[in-house]
Amino acid sequence: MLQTALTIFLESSVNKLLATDNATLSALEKLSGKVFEFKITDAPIHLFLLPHSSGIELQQNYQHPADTCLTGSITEFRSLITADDKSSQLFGNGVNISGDVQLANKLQRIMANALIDWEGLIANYSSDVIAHQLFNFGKAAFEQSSLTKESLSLNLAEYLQEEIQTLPPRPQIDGFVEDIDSLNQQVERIDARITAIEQKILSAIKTTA
Amino acid sequence: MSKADNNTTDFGYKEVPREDKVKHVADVFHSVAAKYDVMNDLMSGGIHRIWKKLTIEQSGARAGMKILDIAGGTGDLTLRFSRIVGKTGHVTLADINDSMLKVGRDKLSDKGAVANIDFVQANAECLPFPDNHFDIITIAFGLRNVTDKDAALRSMQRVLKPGGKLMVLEFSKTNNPLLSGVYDFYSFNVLPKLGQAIAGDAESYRYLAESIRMHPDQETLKGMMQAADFVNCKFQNMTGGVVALHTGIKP
Repeated sequence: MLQTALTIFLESSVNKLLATDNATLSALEKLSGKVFEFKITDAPIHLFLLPHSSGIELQQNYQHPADTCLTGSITEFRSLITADDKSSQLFGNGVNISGDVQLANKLQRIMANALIDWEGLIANYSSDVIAHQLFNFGKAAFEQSSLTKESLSLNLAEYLQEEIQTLPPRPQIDGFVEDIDSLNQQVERIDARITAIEQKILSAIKTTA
Repeated sequence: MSKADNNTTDFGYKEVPREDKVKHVADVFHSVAAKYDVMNDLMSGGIHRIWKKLTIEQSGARAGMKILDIAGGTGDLTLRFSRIVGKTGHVTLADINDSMLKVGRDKLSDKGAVANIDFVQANAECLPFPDNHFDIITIAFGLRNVTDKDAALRSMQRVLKPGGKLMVLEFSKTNNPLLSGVYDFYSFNVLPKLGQAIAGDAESYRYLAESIRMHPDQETLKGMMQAADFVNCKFQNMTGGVVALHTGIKP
């Protein structure tokens, strides 16, 4: 229901802005009866736009196939709206179109010519999308910080070991540890041999006595 | 639906002669027509727009269709339908109450929606339209005011095309005890005062609350639709069952 409320809000905001834009309204009227489907790939937005003589009708559900379907990420739609050369965004570079391409072109031209801050409206609408993006941003920031931490630790180790040679590199430490281990074992063997010799001496003394 | 006897019916919590209910309901709507939209927004906190929008989205309406909006009142559904069906389609707004029709016609004219809309004063029990005529029929917040609901459903079935869809949006019963408590308090204490303050009429809004309680619950209404020869009957609760959207298809 929240998304329906947001859709109603977006729809009425657009229609209020269009109310004074007769050129856009008469262009939209020519598309009356057509249905455009918008699928945003990286956000939970799936809307159907039905143009009419007083603006647009937005629906989250439409029980018949749309005439034209536009698919793309929120960034691609945003760059389509804000790009100077709209055709470059429509074909190949961003938003994917299926169905009647001619209709998509017409709608895109109408949207481009309407004096509306589409980006601002979309930002208002997509409070949940913003939350989604914030989550993604947080996730990306976390991943980046992990990467930075790892890289910093590698660089620091390299600097201390190779550049200023304050710390020995890992293989040198490993070799050193191995040397200590074998020395330790040798000492233990000598200790055992000394103990054995001591016992032999003691038993020899006892037998002679 | 009277449970007392065949000569009386409910008007809110009161029992009135069957033939008088139309007049009583008419008086209520004559009284509230001018402030109807303001009161709807105030009473529901604007949520009625969401209920209606969801109804539109599930109607399956598209360009070229013929749609009947019974008890269309001030034309909220009609306006949206007229935009969807376009020049090739047609919407008929029917209401038994001429005051409501006048308010609806003025409102839709102001919004420039006239070309594909008819306004008809009609009783839902005996709709003045040919058989198999409409693709979709909606009745939003109107069925509970109808004296003989079964006759109205049969009449709608008659004028609907085979395969056409009936949608009944109406107040219903909530199962949530907490919500029920709040809703009852709101309906019987806040609503009449709100009606008095805004529309200068507490009684009409007391009737509104009472008529909602007297209206059949979700399962009963579904059974009534099936009895009127609709198939695939189902309902969807909205706002915890405060409102339910029933749909049925004419076979």
